[in-house]
Amino acid sequence: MVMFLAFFSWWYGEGFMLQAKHVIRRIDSLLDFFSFSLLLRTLFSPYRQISAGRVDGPLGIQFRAMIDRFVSRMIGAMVRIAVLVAGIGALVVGAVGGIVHLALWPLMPLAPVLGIIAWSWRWMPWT
Amino acid sequence: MDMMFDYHSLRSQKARLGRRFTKPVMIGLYGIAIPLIGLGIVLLWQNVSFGWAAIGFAIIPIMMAIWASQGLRSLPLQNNASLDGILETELLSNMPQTVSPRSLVEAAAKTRSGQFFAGRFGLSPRFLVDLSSDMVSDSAVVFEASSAIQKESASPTIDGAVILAAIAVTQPGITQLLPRLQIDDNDLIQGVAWYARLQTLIKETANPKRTGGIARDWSFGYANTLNHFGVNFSDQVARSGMMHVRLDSHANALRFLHDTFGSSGRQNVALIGPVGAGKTTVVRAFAESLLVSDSHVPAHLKFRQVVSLDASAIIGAAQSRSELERLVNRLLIEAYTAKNIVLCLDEAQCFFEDRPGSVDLSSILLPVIEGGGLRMILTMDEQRYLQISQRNASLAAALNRINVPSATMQESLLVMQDQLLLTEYNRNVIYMYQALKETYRLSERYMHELAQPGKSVRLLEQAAAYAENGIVTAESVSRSIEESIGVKVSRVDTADERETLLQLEDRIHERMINQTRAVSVVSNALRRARAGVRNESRPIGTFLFLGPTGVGKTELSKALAEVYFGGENRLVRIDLNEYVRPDDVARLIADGASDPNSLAAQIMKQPFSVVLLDEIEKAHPQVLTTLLQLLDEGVMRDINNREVSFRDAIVIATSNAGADTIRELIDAGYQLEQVEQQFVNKLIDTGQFRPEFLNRFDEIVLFRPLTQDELGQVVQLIIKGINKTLESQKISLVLEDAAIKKLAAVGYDPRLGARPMRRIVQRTVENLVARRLLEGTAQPGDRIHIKESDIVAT
Repeated sequence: MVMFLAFFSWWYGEGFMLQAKHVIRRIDSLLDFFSFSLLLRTLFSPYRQISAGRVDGPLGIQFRAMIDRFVSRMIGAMVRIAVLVAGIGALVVGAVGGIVHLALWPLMPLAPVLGIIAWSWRWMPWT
Repeated sequence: MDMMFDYHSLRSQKARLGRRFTKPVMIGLYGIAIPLIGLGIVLLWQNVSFGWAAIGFAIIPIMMAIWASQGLRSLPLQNNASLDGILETELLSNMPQTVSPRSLVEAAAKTRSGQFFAGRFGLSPRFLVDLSSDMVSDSAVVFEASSAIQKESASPTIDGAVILAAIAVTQPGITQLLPRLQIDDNDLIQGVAWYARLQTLIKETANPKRTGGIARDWSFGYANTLNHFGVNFSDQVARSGMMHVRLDSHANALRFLHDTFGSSGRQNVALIGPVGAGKTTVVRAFAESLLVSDSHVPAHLKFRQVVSLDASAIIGAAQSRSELERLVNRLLIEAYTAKNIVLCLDEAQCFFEDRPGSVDLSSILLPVIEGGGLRMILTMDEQRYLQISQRNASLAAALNRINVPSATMQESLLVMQDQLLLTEYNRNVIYMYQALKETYRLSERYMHELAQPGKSVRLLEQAAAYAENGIVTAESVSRSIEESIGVKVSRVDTADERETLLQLEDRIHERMINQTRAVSVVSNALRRARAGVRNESRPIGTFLFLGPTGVGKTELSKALAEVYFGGENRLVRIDLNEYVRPDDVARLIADGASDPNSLAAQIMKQPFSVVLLDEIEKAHPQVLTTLLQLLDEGVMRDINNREVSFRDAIVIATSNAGADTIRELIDAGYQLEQVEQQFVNKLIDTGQFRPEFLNRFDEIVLFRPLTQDELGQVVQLIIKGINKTLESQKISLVLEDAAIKKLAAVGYDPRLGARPMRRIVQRTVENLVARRLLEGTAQPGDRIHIKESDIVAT
């Protein structure tokens, strides 16, 4: 009986907190993997610094460099936005998964009872 | 805190329950759950509602497995509660209901921490069980000691290691045996701390690392050439895991790197320290700190890459100097335009001096260093830094310098403990704690080319080859260093060696005539040294031999080298009559590269030697001053300011000073022992030796002139030598007593002692034998008898 109580005490106390930490850590890892803060801070920075340096010389060369920089920034912005979109998708999936995980956690000890109820009611929502 | 153990506490019960969830049980739980879930899904697919019940019941074993693995394996501590609140879960699960020191050992020996501790110190659980008390009342003392050890070792819990350490310090039977295992109380605490730190390390490694993600380097330029001619430390650290720097000196250097590159001053740091002190490790640790996105480095430093340039690759790739300069320029420009590169010139002297394998690129690098546009780290040893600074003062002025000193003993032990995990894995060995301590001691003493902790780590790796049954002991370390320097460093351990030491006088007298006091004095010094009863901070023995020429001073030194160190080649002889000018000090302390025959170079190569400082009275006073520290502390500094140890050498200085006085005193019927002090006073009064110099010797030994009878014995020794030479021709010499006496009389010269004897024997006996061999009057297998009449004085 003591162990039974200890189990429930852990499941709804420390166990739940542990799951919440796992979910937060997973989301944190996704944020890091997709470099969200870096992407936002450098959204319009030249991609891989191509033609990023200052160019001295005649007006034509400077104009050419400016065009190069502009193209590089555009390419950078497109790549970064694409990654941001993919990252947001992954983040949404991760967050939803985490919420479902945390929502199901307290219900898990009730699963046998719920299973018996569903069986006795012959619950088949798709029929 | 209540030092009583409560077997029935909830935490204890949970721990015991957790122990029941063994691997087969866990497999069994999932083995039930998965088919049940499968069955449930199939049933629901078939519109059979019992599927819900099957899935519902499948959750029960899953929950049990989750609880066991996440909730019961590592129970949270209850620091304010009773003893069982701070016992480590694995230990708690093995605790018996009735606790005695013996049952505690049995419980601790079942835990991973206990096994680690016992293995590292060579304490077998059986040995500990047998010597532990079985009285329940004795357990309180063990628990109190455990609590103290836990606090002192900063271990978060009382685990098996803490309990075994407490048993070792509280059970008299074990405590008495610890010295034999070369363990003291502090070692036990260090062993507990070692395990605790490893646990922390494992936890840190298991934590997910945030290193910037996929877009980390997108705002920076490519550095293909740099990556080709350099080593990207950041990549290496990210791939092979994080570095851990705990040394105070390293932490200071790391802070300095952060401060310097975090501020707007000159963007360079020169790490100056001896080879092996860990300069490259500091650079790697710096690379690691920049990679971790949640570290406390300034935002503009985060995710910068540390690339170390490979001087040999750069020099090898260029055909000419101009090509080399172009390549270096290209590398610098690439590093600058990439904007995320911290350039490291490891062993920076390779870039600032023209030598084989290095090239002076000051003209290119100095403007970059002074300009501060590119972040740079230079590592160099002190000596080279001073040399380069002397040549190029503006370079020294432009650098932000910080020292990386050698690690202390405690720090070196920590580094070894961390490093050996990898070595153990690669070499399939286990290191004992005693091996680590011995490694530090021996590396400090015999490895001069590296600083700590580098030399300890190197010796530790070497010792793996001498492991017995996969265990690296202190003995393995001794054997490793013995093999590398070719001499005995371990304590007396064989019966043969004991016998040699006990019969040292007899062995020496096989080639020495009389001088019993001198032989006895040096023999005692050697016995003290090998038995471990001596001052380890001084040479094995320092002796001043005084006496006339040809009385056996040099011969005794040679005999010692042969008997004690295994050969006359172990004699390092320095004729101090060649060191009569103050400049000669430089020759004495020259390093091996410039003069392999200097005293410093020979001892560095062969520390176990007899150092014979011949005719010391003729040396210049500055030379004698240099030798003072050697005699006093057993060390001398070479020309590069490296410490050269003479602590395994026997230092013998000889002098003919006062030889006439000795002769007069002997002729007047005095025994040398009676007049020794008087004689030494006279040497000081007449200014031949300074008192502070004479006081440095362990013993001042007077050699008395040989009598004619003793010269006869010398003749016999010489004949013995000749017989050995003739052995291959199966010919032997036999001298009549009268012949020996005549030879002694012919060769007797009170001023020259035994020195003319060999010449006399050569002229007479050897010539005679040679003639007889050529005439055919002596054949192989003959014994040639030499009579008195055969000896002709020449």
